[in-house]
Amino acid sequence: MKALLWLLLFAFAACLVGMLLGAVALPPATVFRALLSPDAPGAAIVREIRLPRVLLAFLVGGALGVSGAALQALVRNPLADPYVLGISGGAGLAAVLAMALGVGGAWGVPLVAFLGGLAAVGLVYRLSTVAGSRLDPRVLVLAGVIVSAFTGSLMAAVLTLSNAEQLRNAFLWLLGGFSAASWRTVLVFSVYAVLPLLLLFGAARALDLLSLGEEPAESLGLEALRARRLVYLATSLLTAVSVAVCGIVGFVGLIAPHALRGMLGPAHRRLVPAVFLASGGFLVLADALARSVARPTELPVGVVTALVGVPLFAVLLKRSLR
Amino acid sequence: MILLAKAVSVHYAGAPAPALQDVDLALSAGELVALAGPNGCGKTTLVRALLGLLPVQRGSITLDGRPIATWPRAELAQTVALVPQREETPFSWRVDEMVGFGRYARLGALSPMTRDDRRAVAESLERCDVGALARRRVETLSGGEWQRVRIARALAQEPSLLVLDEPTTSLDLGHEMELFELVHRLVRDGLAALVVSHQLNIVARYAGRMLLLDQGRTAAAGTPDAVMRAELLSQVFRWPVSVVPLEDGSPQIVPRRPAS
Amino acid sequence: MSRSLLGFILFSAAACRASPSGAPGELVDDSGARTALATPPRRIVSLIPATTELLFALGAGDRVVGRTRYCDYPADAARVPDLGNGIQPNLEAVVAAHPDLVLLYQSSANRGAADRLRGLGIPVLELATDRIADMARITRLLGRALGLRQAAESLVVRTERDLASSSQPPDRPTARPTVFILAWDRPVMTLGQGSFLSEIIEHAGARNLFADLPASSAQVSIETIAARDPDFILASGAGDIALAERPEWRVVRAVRERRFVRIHGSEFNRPGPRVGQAVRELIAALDSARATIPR
Repeated sequence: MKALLWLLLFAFAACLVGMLLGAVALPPATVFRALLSPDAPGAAIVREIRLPRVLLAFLVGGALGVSGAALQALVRNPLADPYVLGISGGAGLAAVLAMALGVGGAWGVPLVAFLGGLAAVGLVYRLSTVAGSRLDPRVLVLAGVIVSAFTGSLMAAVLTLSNAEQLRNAFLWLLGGFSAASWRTVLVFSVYAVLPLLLLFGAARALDLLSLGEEPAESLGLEALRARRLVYLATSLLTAVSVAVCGIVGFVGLIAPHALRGMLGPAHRRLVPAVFLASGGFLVLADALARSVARPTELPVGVVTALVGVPLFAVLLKRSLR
Repeated sequence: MILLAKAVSVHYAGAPAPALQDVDLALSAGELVALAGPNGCGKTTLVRALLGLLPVQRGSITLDGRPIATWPRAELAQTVALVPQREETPFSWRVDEMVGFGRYARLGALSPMTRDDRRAVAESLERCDVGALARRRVETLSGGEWQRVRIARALAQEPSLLVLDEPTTSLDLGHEMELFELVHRLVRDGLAALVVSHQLNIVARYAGRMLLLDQGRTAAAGTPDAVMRAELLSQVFRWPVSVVPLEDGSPQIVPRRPAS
Repeated sequence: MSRSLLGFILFSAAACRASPSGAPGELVDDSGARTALATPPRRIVSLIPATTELLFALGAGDRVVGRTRYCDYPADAARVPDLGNGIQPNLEAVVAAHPDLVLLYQSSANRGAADRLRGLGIPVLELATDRIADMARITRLLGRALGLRQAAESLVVRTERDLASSSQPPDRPTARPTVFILAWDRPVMTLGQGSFLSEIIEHAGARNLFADLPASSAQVSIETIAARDPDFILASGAGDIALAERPEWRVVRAVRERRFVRIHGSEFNRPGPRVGQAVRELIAALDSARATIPR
């Protein structure tokens, strides 16, 4: 598909930009030589810092984009984003608690955040089946709103009782960033993300049908409840591991599905891989911007995605309403 | 192909009364059966039960001799196609994409669409007279066009039984008659059809048999002549009516106005 | 000649043993991590303002090849390249400076950075430069690391002597004036017992109004402040003037009577060699505040 080839090119170009930009000005020739040989000058920066960071940003961007697209089909609402089901609230609260309690180790806070995200997902699931409603999308969204409000207020309470340092650390974590990206992070993320991603890629037709409603979907041959459960689980896992690795980065799961649905049509067979490439590239570029615009300070990447995302979203909205 | 429902009873949890009690229904190829009754009489519940979308507390529903609950969804969708009363379209689908959904039951999750699939889609579009709309987006369609597209989607499933739940609400007279003529043609070509409708006068002219429900029970079943009797209809619809014959012999219901 | 030569040789040998400036050996930092340095580092990236000041005070300022934006003392530090933040530092900038030692503020926010740098083979010392007592330990640690043990030891002794001579003798607690530290006004935040500024206040012969708060910082209500009735309000900068205008603060006697103590200077921001100077300045500020109270 021609569009997919263009997007592949875009993703590749974005990664290139990500590799060439940074706090230290390295000429392109140096970067390429460093990529090819571990002994070249600047190799430590290029191979150990920039490359894993660019890869992680791409994978997380792609994961959040695909989750967003899938959730939009699941809840039949093009405004849903990966955090609509309460994950960001649960992960954020868990992370803030972990930092306040001084949980140790480089993996302590991310692991706790991951578990917190999944706990929130479980709570939302439980709430949404309380009325016997079998993952009814409207109830899901409502439950997500309730859980988000609940975790948000608890988080505010914890932060109020924290001291200045805990507050600052929580703030930095919540705003998100890839400053601690390493090859190990890339590996851990890939291990958790590969299965859910493949599942969502393969669920394209199920997503098409789910967007019509339960009755039409079932009458067209879909085991709707099982499909909803799998999509819910896959998107939850992808979002939870993304938040654990880099905090809460907004708009990524919203922009690409919206923009691409308008350009390529809503059929998920084409949309999902396209969104993966576009979102991945988008986050790589956002991170590159975050790293270079206020050198040598780094902006949190969530700030850049919002600053870029909001006007972009406004343009898309205007175009779609015309 | 036979869809057989025997003594079906459905009771929603927490409801004061059962939604369906002891209802029978039989359908075979080349038949158009109408399902009618006042609001809340259980028509949609019966349709859902017949398609295995709802569990039944008592009685049995079998399709081709097998209980409906044992049919896997995908296999069932290749035999029975439903055009539901309502569906949501949050996304802007193209007409040919929408009709293509009818092939998903045969394709499964991963196999790409073949030339045969595309041919089936094109034929369904033609049979429903919406071939010219193939590349239009569904939100730009009129009510009548949208209904015919959904029927085309059902036909793309290549079913033996077509179930239409209130297919002509919000359609004007012309579009309504067009739709029924279409269904009549499909039935003549060998399909079985179950049409749920409020339009008693229209179904009386097209249906071979009718099932009239009242508060979950069968009020009458049989040919339109047998079912549409003034006293019975007045009772069921809680409004005085007369029944007059048309020149082709079909009974027509005429509600009476209170004496002023 | 041979006697003086022999004497010189013996003296040198003795001197070498007395002041070993050989390999720093294994160092344990404030996170418990062990770092082994083969030779004293010559390219140090100091990502803590307190250690930047210390390094210059030890005479090792020429070895500092990177600092944070907030490292503002001494004036010479300005010529050291600014590498950005000290919390979640820019790894690329740090690595590009080719350091053989990085000094990081010990915090959970820096754990990732510490691991990454160690993973790249760069020695890291995570240091908690929070209170007066920390500085003696950290100065000695840096002295060992840099092969400047004597300089470090004499700096510690000088600083402690200066602090002792500047501090007021500990009076009966009831005789000491109470000071409310206004760290921030919206919301109202103060510093508790666990903060450096609180220690300065104690050494200056006053008492932190919220000495019973173990945390380093916390949010408090104006009501509580009014109930505890501090003798003075301490704010850095000119925030106090605006405070006096706000009606909700009028319930606090110290605001009505304009008992404001103003301090400024980076010696109040971080513990270090200038701690004695900070205490002296605070005592002077308290005296001048007492003198300007109307009536």
